[in-house]
Amino acid sequence: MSNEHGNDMSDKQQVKDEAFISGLYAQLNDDVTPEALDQKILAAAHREVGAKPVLIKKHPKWLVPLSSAASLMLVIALGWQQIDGPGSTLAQITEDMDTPEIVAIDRGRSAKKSVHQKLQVTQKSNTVSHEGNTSITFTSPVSTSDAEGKGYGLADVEQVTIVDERTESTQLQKNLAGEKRILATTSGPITKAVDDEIGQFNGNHSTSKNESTADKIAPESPLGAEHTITLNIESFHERLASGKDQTLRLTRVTEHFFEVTALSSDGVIEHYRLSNDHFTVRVNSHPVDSLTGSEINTSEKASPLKWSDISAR
Amino acid sequence: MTHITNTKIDKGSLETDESLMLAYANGQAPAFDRLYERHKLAVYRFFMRQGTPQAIAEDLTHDTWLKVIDGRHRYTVSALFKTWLFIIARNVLIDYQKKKSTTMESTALADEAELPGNNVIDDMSALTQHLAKAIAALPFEQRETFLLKQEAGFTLDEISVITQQNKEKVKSSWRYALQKLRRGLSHYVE
Repeated sequence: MSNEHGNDMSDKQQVKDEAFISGLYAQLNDDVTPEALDQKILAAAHREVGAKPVLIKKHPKWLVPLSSAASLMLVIALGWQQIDGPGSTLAQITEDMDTPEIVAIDRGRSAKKSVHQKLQVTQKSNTVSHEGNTSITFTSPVSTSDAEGKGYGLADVEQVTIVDERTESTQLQKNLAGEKRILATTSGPITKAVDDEIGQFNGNHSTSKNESTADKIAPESPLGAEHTITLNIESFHERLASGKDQTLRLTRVTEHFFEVTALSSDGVIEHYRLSNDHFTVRVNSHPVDSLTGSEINTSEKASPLKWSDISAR
Repeated sequence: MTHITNTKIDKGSLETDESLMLAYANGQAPAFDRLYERHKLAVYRFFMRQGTPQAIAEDLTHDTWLKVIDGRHRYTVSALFKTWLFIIARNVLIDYQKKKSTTMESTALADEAELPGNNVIDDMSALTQHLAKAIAALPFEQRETFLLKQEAGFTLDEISVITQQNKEKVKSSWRYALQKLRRGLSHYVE
């Protein structure tokens, strides 16, 4: 009996001890695993199953547009720096252009390794009504021998950048070597078009059976949506292969039309108008003074164009 | 074989630890992320409370999870994932102590005289620090039993599985651990 009583007391005491210690222990739990340790372990776990490591912390939603905007600002700042610099070719080009809607800069093939380091400045024109300004820049690699062997000339596009000032900006980076098409994928709100052809840039009037793309580019495209834009450059490959065109700028000037400016390494700036019906009109072609970089025969420029003239073709 | 009778399910998620582990073994890396998030603190604190320096505790934590990763294909749902996890953690700890020539027996010789503190404890912060030191000073078997129950939330039955010890012995370890800690802190509460 006394033994049972003793056990009972002991049990009660243990319950009291447990409650007391547990209460204290709860206040001890302020140790957290260091973030570096977390990342190390998670990286190992992902690496083992061949997955990309994923950061624990979610990036805030505003980070992508903010970084894109910052990139855009950097590009513009660098561009202006080039303009203001002494003896700048771009500065002279800019000054001599009557309607410098688009100025594209490329260091050119004289600096072969810098072909990917493209600087560009977009200036709004006074003569063309802008609903938005979507620019697409293609940066092409120098060496084309491999691509030529496959019949495409320069079919490997290293980088595609799209900037849409209306719907914020984004950047596309994708290459597809040896294929007919250039793929450009973005997570930004540029376009709803998926796997459509925008047009054929062959310098002549040409048509495409494909559906319109321009009218699918909509500002209400939601943030974070993923899109793919496919450009058919099959008929344009000869020019690319020749290395003639180093910079192309495609600017949406109305809802349904784009303007393409090509700055060639042999000193020619060409302007095209591209409609959503996929035909391209070469507006003009001007040689550029090799010394000053300015366009020659600027009086022949057909600017501003009447879009109705183009769409009537 | 141990049967699962108490498969724990997170609030807001129907994914059990076991299903997540199997998913990870099948190559789904995000499943590991969730598992790690659920148990990382318990494992880390299990090592921290051993009285090891933080750097050592981090190394042991790292080793434990690497063994989980490496052993993902060997994992079968014959026990709770957490049980499996802490068996690994305990083995890692024992290996570490063996390397340091700190055997279970020598640790068990720690007597109450080593318990810190007959100093006056002024505030709760000091008390909790005192408790941490008191836990670290417990003999190994009492300490691991205490931590597995208090930190990881295991029952005494589960602890007997993890430590491969008789259930009565685990009960004794738990009781002695409580008594020792209580005595070490008696001047504060009495």
